[in-house]
Amino acid sequence: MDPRLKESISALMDDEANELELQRVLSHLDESDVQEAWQRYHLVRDVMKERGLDYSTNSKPSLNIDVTASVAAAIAEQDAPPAEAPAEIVPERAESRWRWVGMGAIAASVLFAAVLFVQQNAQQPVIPQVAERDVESDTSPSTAVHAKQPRIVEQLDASQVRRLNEYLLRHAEHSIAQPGFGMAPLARVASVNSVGI
Amino acid sequence: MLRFVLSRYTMKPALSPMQILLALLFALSSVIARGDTSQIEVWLSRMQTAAIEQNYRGTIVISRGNMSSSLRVVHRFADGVETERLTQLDGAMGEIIRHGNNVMCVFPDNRVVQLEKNKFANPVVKAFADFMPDSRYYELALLKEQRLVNRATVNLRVAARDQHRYTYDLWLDKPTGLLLQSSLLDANGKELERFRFTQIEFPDVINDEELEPMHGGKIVAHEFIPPVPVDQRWPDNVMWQVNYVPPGFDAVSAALKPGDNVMAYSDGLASFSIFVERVAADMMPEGASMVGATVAYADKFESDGHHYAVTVVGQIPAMTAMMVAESVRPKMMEKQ
Repeated sequence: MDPRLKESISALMDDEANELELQRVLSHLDESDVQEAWQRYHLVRDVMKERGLDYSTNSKPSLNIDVTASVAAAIAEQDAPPAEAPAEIVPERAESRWRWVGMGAIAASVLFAAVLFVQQNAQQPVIPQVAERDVESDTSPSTAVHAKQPRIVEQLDASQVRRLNEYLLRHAEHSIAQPGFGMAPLARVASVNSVGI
Repeated sequence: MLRFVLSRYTMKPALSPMQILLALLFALSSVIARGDTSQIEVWLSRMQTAAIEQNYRGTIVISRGNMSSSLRVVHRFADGVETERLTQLDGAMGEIIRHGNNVMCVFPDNRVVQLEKNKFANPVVKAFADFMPDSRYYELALLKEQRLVNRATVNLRVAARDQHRYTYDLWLDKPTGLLLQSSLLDANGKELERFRFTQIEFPDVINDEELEPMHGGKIVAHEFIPPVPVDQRWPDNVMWQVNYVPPGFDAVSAALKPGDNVMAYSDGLASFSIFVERVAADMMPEGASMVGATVAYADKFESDGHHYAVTVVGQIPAMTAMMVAESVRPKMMEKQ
């Protein structure tokens, strides 16, 4: 979609659109990606304003579209009968949604930080000393005999840092479902992001 | 102890006063030790409640080695709903906004990524709601009282008993129970990650404005984290098995049917996630990438001509992550 068109939609939502921008949006209204953007922006705005957060009971159609897609994906992932193999559809659809737009703005700081982190760790690898402490109550056979040491990665390029960050976000999604540390899992992600995504 | 006190009156002459004193001290110390544990448990449960129910605003510094990052935190609990805003204070501005179960990451480039907490709000996760470190895997100790950020705190240690998890040093605010500082230590006692309030206040009321994102400009995209990509060529009856799970960890999100390729485990304190996906060009290099106390261990393998990539991410030692990653193997289910 034309970035000017995106800007126009945003402006229109904020009541700041001029005649030209209004015409621009109106002339593209029949396009599905424009409709989608319109709904998305409203969703974001509503969430920002702490309105309509309960998607299940909110009757505004604009709020339901995007969420429905993700909920459907989640349901397909969790509840579909085995025979249906939802994997064939779900990842592709999701990938088209998952655009890391505008990575440039943060990529530089990210790369810098990740390399720093990794190098620093490489100098003093944090590898547990398996033989050093007696592992009481651990009956797993692999612990005592695991001679192999993990390889510590020393460098990540920009795309790998992006991958790492995706993993951290996904892991945080699991962690936040668990109470106990309040905002600590999120603070961890936020702090990695400030220097690490 | 009572037994010893009574024995004082029925003692045999052979026992010297010193022996009696020692016996009494011994008995007394065991009583104190027991009292300690339940006291620690009270503190830990206060910590949980405070994390949810307190209003607070402050500044947090997270350090990993000699890198650190500051965040502004505002947290409100009103009408049974938690709202929270975390703002990065260093570098480009990004924010995380949480309202109840909705978590949105607003990136410096005005992209919004929404996390879905509800997705994992299953009964197993709820069972962890009354989190208490399992004494088989963690040893609890009440260390001392200390003043931090001008607040009286109590210092607890939740020490790992084995190599599969880290030790947590926690400093809780005495009046409220809120976690003001935490350190994650490895088996050698090295601090991997520290989280610390450098300033905090507990206002009675926090108004809406304080919880609104401050980002300038317009949101350019709103996304959810997508499912982990699979390879279309994989057999559709592949079911993932984690053949090694460190003791004390339970599945909070298990692979229940063929195709499920994300799993999560927790011991109530530490957690890790497992992702099985297709092999792609921008894969993380095989091995452990460490960010403070968080490891991402990437592994690749081939089975029946198919290529798979396994990544284990969590606050666990690299060795444990490797053992888990290398134990993940496919099992073909019978087709229905």
